[in-house]
Amino acid sequence: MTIDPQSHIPVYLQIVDGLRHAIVRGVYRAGDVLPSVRELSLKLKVNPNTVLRAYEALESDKVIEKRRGSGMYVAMGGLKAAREQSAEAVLESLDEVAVQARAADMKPQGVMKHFAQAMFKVFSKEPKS
Amino acid sequence: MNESNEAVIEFLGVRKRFGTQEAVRELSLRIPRGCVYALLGPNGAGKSTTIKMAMGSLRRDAGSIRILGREVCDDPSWVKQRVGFVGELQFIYRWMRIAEVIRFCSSFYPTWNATLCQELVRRFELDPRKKVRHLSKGMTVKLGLLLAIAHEPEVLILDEPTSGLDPLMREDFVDGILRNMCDGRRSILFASHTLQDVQRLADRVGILVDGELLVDRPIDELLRTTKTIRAVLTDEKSPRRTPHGAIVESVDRREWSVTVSDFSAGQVEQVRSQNRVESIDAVNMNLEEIFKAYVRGRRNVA
Amino acid sequence: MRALLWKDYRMNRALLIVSAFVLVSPYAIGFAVQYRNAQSTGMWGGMVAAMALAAMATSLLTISLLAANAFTQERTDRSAEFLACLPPSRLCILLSKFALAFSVSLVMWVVNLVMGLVVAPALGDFQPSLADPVSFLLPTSALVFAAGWGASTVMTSPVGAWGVATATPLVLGGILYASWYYFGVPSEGEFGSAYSVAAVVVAVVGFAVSSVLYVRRVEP
Repeated sequence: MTIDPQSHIPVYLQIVDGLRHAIVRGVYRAGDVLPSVRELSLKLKVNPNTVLRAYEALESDKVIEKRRGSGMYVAMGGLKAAREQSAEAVLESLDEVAVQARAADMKPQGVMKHFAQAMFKVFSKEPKS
Repeated sequence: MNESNEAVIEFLGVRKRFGTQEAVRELSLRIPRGCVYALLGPNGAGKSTTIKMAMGSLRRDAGSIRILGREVCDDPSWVKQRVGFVGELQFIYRWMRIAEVIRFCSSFYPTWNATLCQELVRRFELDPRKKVRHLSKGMTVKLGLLLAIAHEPEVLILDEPTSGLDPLMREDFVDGILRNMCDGRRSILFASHTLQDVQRLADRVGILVDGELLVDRPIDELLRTTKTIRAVLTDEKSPRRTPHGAIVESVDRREWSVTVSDFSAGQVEQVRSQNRVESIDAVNMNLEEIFKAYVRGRRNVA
Repeated sequence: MRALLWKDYRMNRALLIVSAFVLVSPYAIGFAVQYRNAQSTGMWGGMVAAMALAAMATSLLTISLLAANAFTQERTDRSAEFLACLPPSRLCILLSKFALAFSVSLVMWVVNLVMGLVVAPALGDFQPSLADPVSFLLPTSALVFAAGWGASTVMTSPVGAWGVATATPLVLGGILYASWYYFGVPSEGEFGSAYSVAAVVVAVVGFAVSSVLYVRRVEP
């Protein structure tokens, strides 16, 4: 995970997205301990307050949980929650695409046909657990 | 966030004038404990003047500046024992060796942490026997940072300390700060042009232009609510209603761009309904773009 | 405070060596030149008195330089700005510089006074006594010290402050001369003592005022 300090996306959101993505990909599994605030802040070279904010956001989204005395862990339902939130993000991108298609004056059927083909190509390639 | 309500640095109605030039106008600013505050502004905006006044090197014309509850002019020695300062240029005694500089400075701070100092000497790769005049710019800045944080101050004030440093040195400097200062109890005020460092380190941002503080907001909020609304005008000549909260606007051929400070979806609709436009969308802005918008907006008005 | 004294001592080390040299050389040179003469005439006292007088005169240059250098040296390389961000108060910074410049000047004067007013008369009778030149040189020394000190609190250039220091006795003398010429005050007989008193008064007041102003200002 790297932070882009020149992005329009606030750093804490970048961390949230990055961690969520890592959990979805299986880098962190349920019950795994996450880096401490200080560790992650030094690794990403950002203010620890920002890391804390990201952790708090993920905690309220039920992706991670705090265990007293030992830090942040991936919650039991964390993978599911992370997937759901990632799914939401994907759907939001689709909304964006619809707006852009309209702006480009495209026909809905053409767009949907292309999308169906792309989905088929991707989903039939990789077996996903 | 680890912030209490206690203000560690507080400017109230501060003014400073040089001859006929108003360098700082009615500046009021509050930095709570644990906050990392970045002060941005173009050259000559008054950032260095503000910081010099906070360090007591320049007398203000009006208003008050309190650090850790004490008025800076009243008890400068007390304040300086609790504040670490790194300026844009280092004027450390060039004839001293690093070991001598450390011995000299450590004698003034009851809270000097010798272990931390040794660790920093090691981490910054400083040779204690070397004279300051033989150090490169990057090494001098690192020495300056060491002197500023080895006494574990509650407040750190930085005036563009990384200007002129190569990217690796800058990273070492930022790392030095993160390792030793960002623990929720210590507060930092820094003036900088290096916006990448600002976005990494700052909790809160202030934008100072021509002596006036145009913005004073948390950085995440600033990024989230400052956007540019772009619309294609159906007719260039018909009058336009500028939306509320506009910072700067421009027209290029038929494209009308308005940067607003309090973006909401409702605003887009309002622009669409109040003007004759086709195709309207909102563009996100990064810190550099926001900074430029504020400067341009101020200069257009002035 | 000790750290400040160490710092001021180290910064002025070259100047201290020069001062030691300036203190010793009138005696060394005088001795080397006049030795045979004194041996044959037996006028050791006169020789020592002459050397002491020369040393007192030359010490004016180093004393004024010590004072003129006090604050200006740190302004030439802007290390004064570094010091200003450190905890020591303006008063402590000033006291440390004063301790150094004044103690060295004092030592020079004590040595020369002892040689001139104690050792020389003890070695033999000679005319005239040094009391008159001393009554002119000592107040002048105070005046150049104070003028150099005061100039140094506001100027950036050590050489410039030194120039002010060395010019001040001439200016004072000039003012008194003009006053005698146009107003007849002070009278010719009193001119010497008027100068000495005026020099001491100007020195003390100038030193006090410039020091207080320095402590109350904030600019490095």
